[in-house]
Amino acid sequence: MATACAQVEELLPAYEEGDLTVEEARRLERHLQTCPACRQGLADLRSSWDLLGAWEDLEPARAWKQDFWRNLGRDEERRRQGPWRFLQDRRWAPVATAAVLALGFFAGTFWQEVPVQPTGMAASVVISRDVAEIAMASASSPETDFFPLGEVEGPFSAEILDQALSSVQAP
Amino acid sequence: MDEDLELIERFKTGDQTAFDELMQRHYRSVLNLVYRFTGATGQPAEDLAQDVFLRIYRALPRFEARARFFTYLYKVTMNLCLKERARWARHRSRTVSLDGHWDDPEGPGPRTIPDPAGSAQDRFERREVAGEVREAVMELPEEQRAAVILHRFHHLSYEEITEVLGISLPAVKSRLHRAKLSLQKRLGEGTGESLGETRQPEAAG
Ligand SMILES: [Zn+2]
Repeated sequence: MATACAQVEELLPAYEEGDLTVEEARRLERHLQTCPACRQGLADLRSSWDLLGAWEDLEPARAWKQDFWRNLGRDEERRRQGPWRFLQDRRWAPVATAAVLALGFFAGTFWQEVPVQPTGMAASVVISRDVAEIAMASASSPETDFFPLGEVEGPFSAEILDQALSSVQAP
Repeated sequence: MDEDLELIERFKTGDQTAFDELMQRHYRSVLNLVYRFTGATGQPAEDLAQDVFLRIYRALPRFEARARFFTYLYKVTMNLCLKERARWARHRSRTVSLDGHWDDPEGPGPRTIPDPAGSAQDRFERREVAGEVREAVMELPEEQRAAVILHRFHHLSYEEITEVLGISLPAVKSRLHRAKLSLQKRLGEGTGESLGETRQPEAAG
């Protein structure tokens, strides 16, 4: 390819966008009149840009809006969990479950070795059952998570409005 | 006054329906920015778009109308895409293919509504062209791809792109410039004519 052609090719996008000076544009046009290869280059530049329109849009999921208000509700719920919040995080569910098993094992050992201390044992069982429930809740699938907003069809019910308003006004 | 800003003012006074309307206006656009920039489809794309609006919902009470809302929205979207990309790369290295674009961890192909018009042959060819285009854009370096998507599919001006990507005007121009030259080589020349003939008209909206 001639040097002139290489230079012209490099300038074509700017020419298309109207970013060349009048003088530059005039020189380029003069070249285009005499050079079929560069004319083809300009045609390709235009057609390839137009062609991008063939890339179709993705259609949003049918329930995207309900999903949003439900996700928001879950997020609010999670924020209210305070120190237990990390247990609600699905990434921590296996850790929580392991902790429960370890606690249960410990309680079992404790029960066998020191059967004369029922108070301490009972306390540890109570703790482990609480942790177990939280762990089970966080390990369940999102579909089965209990959240009342999930039952509501649209986002405009009074409960949702109250929920959301309280969250907006919270510091 | 800007319709988005009106909705934001209403939302700030506690009107939840205003946020609903704001999402209605922009959800599709955000979803498709996610889709075209990351290549994600299905649930991963929806999750990301949902996350964008969740963050917007939290941040909006502090939003000051210095920029137009959609440039802010797109900025949040791009940042989340990049963050998510890093997470995917860390946790699921298989989702990042060798040529650098992000495969859909959920499965093949975008969920698009087929155009009922035209013969089966037409539809087949159109899908082929769409696939070529998708590949060509995905093969662009990330920073060029971002500029192309915002300019070509979201119709942002150069100035608006500088706001979204946080880069200078010359940088925007040079990225688009280089991207156009690559696309010209990839989609023009030889393949250009056959692809051009089966090109579908611009979708309305
Ligand atoms: Zn030439």
